[in-house]
Parts: sequence; C-alpha cells; structure tokens
Amino acid sequence: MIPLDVALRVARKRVAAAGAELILPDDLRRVVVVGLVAAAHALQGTTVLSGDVRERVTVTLPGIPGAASTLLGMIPIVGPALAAFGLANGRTAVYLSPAAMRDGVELLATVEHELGHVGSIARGGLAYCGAYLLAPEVRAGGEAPCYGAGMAVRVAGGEALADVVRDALASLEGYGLDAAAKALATGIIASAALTIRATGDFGGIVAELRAEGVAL
Amino acid sequence: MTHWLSAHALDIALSLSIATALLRALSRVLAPYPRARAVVEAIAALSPDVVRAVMQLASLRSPAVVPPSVGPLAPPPDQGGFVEGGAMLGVCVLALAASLACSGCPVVREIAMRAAPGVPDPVGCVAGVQRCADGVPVVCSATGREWAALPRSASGEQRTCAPGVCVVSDGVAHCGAL
Repeated sequence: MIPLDVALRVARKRVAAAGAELILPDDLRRVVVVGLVAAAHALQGTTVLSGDVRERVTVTLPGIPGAASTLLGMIPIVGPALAAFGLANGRTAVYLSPAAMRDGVELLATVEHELGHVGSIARGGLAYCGAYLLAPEVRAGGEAPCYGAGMAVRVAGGEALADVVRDALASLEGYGLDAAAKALATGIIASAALTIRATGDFGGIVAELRAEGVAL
Repeated sequence: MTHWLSAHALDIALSLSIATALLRALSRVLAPYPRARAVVEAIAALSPDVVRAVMQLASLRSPAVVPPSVGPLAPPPDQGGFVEGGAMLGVCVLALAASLACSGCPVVREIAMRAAPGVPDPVGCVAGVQRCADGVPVVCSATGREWAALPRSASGEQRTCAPGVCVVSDGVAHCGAL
C-alpha cells in the first residue's frame, strides 16, 4: 500500500520535471476542463457521460503558447474564461479526477498514464492534438501505450494482470474508436500485457518510480 | 418582435448599461479572486452576443428591409489586405468546425496524421502484424503505420525495452528480460 501523500509528492515531482502542471480535482480550472471534455465526447458521440467525465476522467491538455493564446482569448463567449482559467499559460497540464485520488497506486498509475500523453504533446505539439481529435487511429495508438503504463504500475502495486488488461480494454471503449482502431489498441494492449508479465515493468516506468522511493 | 425591440431600444440600452455597470462593479469587488472575476467578466462579454443573436433571430422572422443603394464601397486606400481580427478568427473557427465535421472523412484524417509530428509515417506494413523496431515492439495499423507499444517518456522520447530486449512470441512483439 502506497500512502496517498507519498504518491502525490512523487506525482508532483515527476510532472514538474516534465515541465507540466498537476491540477488537483478540487481546482476550479478542472471545472472548465470537465465541460470541454464532456462537450468533446458529446460531439464525437462516444458513450462517455458528463457525470463520468466529472468523476472519473483525468485529462492532459496542451498549453496554448504565444499568438495562439491571444487568439484563444478572442473567441466569443468562452475565450476570456479559457484564458483566465489558465489554459493559456503555455504549459501542458494534467487535470486529475476524484477517482484518481482513490489511493496511492491509483494516483501513480493515472499520472504515469498521463505522462505518456505529456510526452506525445512534447513531441507532436498542437498538430498532434488535432490529429488525436480527428483520427481514431491516433487515439488508439496514443492511448493504448499509456494504458500499458498504468497497467504496469497497478500490477507492481499488487493487482492481477488479467484484471488490469480487462479494465484497460473496457476503458478504451470510451474513445470513439472504429473497428480498425480497436484492433490496433487491442494489439498494443496484448503486447503490453506480455511485456509486463515478462519484465515486471513497462519501458522502465516501474523502475523509475522505485528510484523515487515508491514501494512497488 | 422587431417592432417591440425598436420601440424599446432606449429601455434595452439603459438596462444593458446598468447591467454592465453592475457587472463591472462586481468585477472590481472580486479583484482579489481572479477566477471568480473571470467568470463575471465572461458573463459580461457574453451579453452582447446574446443580444445580437436575439436581434438576428428576430430579423429572420420579419420581412426583409432593402437598404437604399449607396454604390460599391471602395477599399480603404492605404489599408490593402486589411482583415478584421474577428473575421479572421471566425474563419479559423469555421475551418476547425469543418475539420471536426469531416473527421469521418479518410482524406481529412490522413492529412491530419501526416501533418502531426509523432504520428508514424505509413510504411506499407500489414494491419495487425507486430514486430520489433529499434528495440521497441510495434503494431501495424489499418493505414500501414507502425505504432509503438511503449509510451513516450514525459520529455517526448520513445521508451524502449532497454535494458531488456524486444522479442516476438506467437505473433506478439513485447519486451523480455535479458
């Protein structure tokens, strides 16, 4: 069992080291983000309900830099609010859900998942985010390895591999994937499961957490 | 409704002015609380759009009024290429909306994927086939792209199996211990 305060300290440190910001569930900025994410799910016709978004969905959003920030503030109605709520501070931010704070393992699994997205945004910027919104394949190829990261932390924390695989596949149903994208995501999760079973890690994530003093 | 709005234009303007003044006063009171202040200012910014939308809806329900012809407008002589910021933003928003509306179009998806750094280029692989590439398990997608099964590190670098090795077992590529 990892104490929540220990997990939160490590999570803050790792997110800060990535140049990103960790937003806790009770932060007012998350209220704005919940609205945006719920609207995006509604537009994409996914099965995710706004209540689920509020309680369960942790999300990583890119910071909006420079001139784009000015444009964001000019958007009628919501622009000033978006800018004022800090979405335009130029830093990628991880908005934690209440469910992510359930216990230490859950928090670290969630944050390691999101750090994968932080890395994708660092590599691909806003163009990657646009492709993520438009193409189910990018959502599948971007999400499934991140779910693998969370799976590795949960298994290291004592959960059964079969359970975390089942949970990951169920969660991936909420991303509006078509059949081809689901096949891609399923293939990546199968690879992740074998990697975790063979190495007890997933590309060094568990080792990095242990190096931070986390008892996994 | 247009007639009513015309007849009460002064009252509406006065009401809006009072409401704006109240919101501005409230905004000053909330100065130490920037987030609450932002909400108030967002509401203040919203009100002209609401009024404009109501007027536009009302005009749709009323007979069209043809304005007298004033001849073609000449462009400002020293402002060639001038585009109002709001109009430009509107074009951008429309373009984004059109892109989202076309998110089901394969061509739009393909353009978005090719333009995005971090999305692998198509290599003509067979969908579903897995292999090891540079110490990373990869899975081929329906568009012939090889997606890494490991996530990126937070700094954006691709994680690998190191210090282990990448192997393929029963068609599934994965990391294994040394």
